[in-house]
Amino acid sequence: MTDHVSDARKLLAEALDVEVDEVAADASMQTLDSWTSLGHMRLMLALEETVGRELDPVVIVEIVTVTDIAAILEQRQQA
Amino acid sequence: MARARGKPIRTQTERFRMRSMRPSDVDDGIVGWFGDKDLMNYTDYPKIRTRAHLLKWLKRFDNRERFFLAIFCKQTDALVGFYTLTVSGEGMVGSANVVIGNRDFWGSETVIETRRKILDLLFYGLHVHKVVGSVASRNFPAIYNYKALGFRCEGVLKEHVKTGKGELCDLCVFGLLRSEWDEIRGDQKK
Repeated sequence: MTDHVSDARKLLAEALDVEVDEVAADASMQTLDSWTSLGHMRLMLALEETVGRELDPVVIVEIVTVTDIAAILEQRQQA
Repeated sequence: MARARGKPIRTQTERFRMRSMRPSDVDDGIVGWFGDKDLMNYTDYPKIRTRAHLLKWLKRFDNRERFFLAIFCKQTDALVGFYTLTVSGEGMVGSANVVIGNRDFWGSETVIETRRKILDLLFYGLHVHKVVGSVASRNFPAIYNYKALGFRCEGVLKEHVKTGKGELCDLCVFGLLRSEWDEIRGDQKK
């Protein structure tokens, strides 16, 4: 999971246009000030491009933490 | 006999003033928002093309069960966007849909800041038990705006709506109880 958390941090940092060091492994919408609505849109599009498909809305609505992003990346690897 | 309209309402946040829209607020700018297909792609507002049409539609907001609140920037007095609020189910359930038509205020937590105040208004001023919202599943910024304030997704309705551009889309239904807002309020970092 550690690699996926690292990848998730990178993906989120790029979407939010911040340095990776600013995105903690336990960061969330609630704790990360730079996580905005436009950043979230960029994150979703980048995540879908990474996994190669549109995400199910049931999954989309639950993405609120770095851990959630990492879980999706891990599922892609297992698929 | 028609029920009398309620009194206009107003509230404010650190950066914004919000109040019931007045006819004198209507200008070509806000009319243009309704004609902006990108801006309105995920909404189901009427296709308003003229000031007269908007003024006629505004009369439907009675300040009792339906409210139309304009959002103004305190610093510049610029019109930023608007909320349409509804209270239904004998005052049980409220909703607050927002359009930020002024692109200068996109990506700057405008909805988070104003909707927090709107939730206070709905729960503590209008005494609703629950607030709901429906969002097209591809409207990622709007999904963020609900999740960041603590709303739960209560369900996804498959291929339930068509966007303004004619695409079928799933609809995500969000809900927030007053008891949940009581707990969240004051703990929000944003």
